[in-house]
Amino acid sequence: MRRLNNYFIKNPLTLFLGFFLIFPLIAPYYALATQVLIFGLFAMAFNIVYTHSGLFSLGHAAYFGLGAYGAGLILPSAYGTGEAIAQFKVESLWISLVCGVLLAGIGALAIGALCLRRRGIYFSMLTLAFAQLLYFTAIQASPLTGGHSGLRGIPAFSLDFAGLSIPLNNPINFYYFTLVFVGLSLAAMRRILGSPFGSAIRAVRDNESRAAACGHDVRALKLLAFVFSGLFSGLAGALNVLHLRIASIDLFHWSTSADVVMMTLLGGAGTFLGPFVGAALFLVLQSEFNRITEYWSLFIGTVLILVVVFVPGGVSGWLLPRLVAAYHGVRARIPAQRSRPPAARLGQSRLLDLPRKSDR
Amino acid sequence: MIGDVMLRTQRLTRKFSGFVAVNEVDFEVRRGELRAIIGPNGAGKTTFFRLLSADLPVTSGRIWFEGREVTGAPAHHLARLGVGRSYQITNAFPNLTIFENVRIASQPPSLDFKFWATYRQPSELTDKTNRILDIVHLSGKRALLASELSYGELRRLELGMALGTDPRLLLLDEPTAGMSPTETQTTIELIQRIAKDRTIILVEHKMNVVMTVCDRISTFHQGKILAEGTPEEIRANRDVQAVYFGSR
Repeated sequence: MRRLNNYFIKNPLTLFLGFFLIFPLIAPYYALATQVLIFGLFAMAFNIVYTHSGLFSLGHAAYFGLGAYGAGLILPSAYGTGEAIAQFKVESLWISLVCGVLLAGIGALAIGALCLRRRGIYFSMLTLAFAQLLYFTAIQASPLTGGHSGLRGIPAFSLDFAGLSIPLNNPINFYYFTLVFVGLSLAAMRRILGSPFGSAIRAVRDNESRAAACGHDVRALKLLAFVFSGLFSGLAGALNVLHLRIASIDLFHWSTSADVVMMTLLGGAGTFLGPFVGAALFLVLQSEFNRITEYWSLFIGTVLILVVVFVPGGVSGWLLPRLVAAYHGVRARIPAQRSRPPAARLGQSRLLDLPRKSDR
Repeated sequence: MIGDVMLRTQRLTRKFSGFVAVNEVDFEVRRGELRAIIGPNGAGKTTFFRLLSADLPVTSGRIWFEGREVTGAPAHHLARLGVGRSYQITNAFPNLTIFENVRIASQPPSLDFKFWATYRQPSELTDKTNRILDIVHLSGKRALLASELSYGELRRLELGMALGTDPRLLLLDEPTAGMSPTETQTTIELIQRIAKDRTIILVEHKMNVVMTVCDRISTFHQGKILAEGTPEEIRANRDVQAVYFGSR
């Protein structure tokens, strides 16, 4: 039994997969379950830069939006828009996904290369500025992007193999389709963060000048982490547009960037699956409060403040050490120092600190 | 044992908005040497160090390392060429374990971008990390975070990390600062052991340390080199005495 418990602690992905296989049964409705997966992936992608690289990006909506528009623009039946590139359009689910991911990756590479020239609050402000730039560009370029109304009429696909045709416009089918991508992405992230690259990027986060003195190329490491984050955010965005069959301009809005920060803090940035937990909580709370009142954001805001003040490690940062202790049947003192996620200190203090001269 | 010129600077200068911290310094260190840099507070020792390790850009002047000009090269480039350094104010990776701290210092930069690789156990890198942890007596603390170490232990970690990059030239900034006499003695022995196959430049305040371990001493005063020579010569130098004791 203990061996089994240890297995789950070392391999949280198995637990994740087990839970999300049955999640649609307990979620209020299927579409919400799928949204949880998509935003969970997005929050995990954001956390690659936030916790693991110590970079507080305030403009992650850019890569989510680029993923969505990249996936949507290549599809032919997004009506009323994209006449300019009509001859390039292909009706393929896979090409659409690849386009979304690639566009987000290219965006992250270009924007990251510029923003990473500055540190701390200046970096955050630059990422925000670039995201807003894309937002207004998407509005202005309405012949291509549909402006305020976004891309509408994204076609529904079905998966054909071995003589079977699985329609993806059936919500439960799309849920499991998404789960495969999200599961694979999380496994890839875990591998990347456990690699020598993952180690190097955490060293850069902790102490940039020391990492450089050890021979590590700080700028290139940060840029690669930023691009990885952009690629996974792009996948989330592409899945989102295929799910809702509309690419809304709101995806580019700064509030999407704010949502992903809230999700990450709510769930706990310091544990691997924390951001995912946060995304699930955020969306379920949003949907429940939304039934009661249109001022739902007031309630979510209150919950977030309570979490940040009383459990700065987030829900999973608080829960995980206690679950482990309960499993082992030990009333072990929970080591306060170590259960506190480094990122909660890093990311937040970076924003609240007065700008340092070296940041500029 | 003392060989060719390893590091050379020519009219090296660093200004901070008008204040000249390092003023046209010509400096030379030969291979195998253990050189100390001493001087009163504010003499420009640490700034000079930061220029040598490219932690700070030079205002003017040039630096050569092993015959190659390295003026303006980025810090990570210099580290790869074989210049390692430790810091006066302890400067590790606080949220990583002691083992990870030394491993990341020892990790060849060619591994940095292998994001699909895993750390093999055992491997050359793990062996090297363990060897260094043994040298600096931190094997028992490997699983602790750097932020959980005591001051003396952090100073030893500092040395271990400096060794991780396999430097041929090691710059040590006050390796015994704030240490008790016993800890100082241990560190001196450690430095002498390391110095056998390396060139070392160290900035130090404690005269007994400098006088016992060093081959040659350079004295800084107001951003310039005041005097240079063997410990005996420096001890006998009247200018140095004036700067340190205010007497003539």
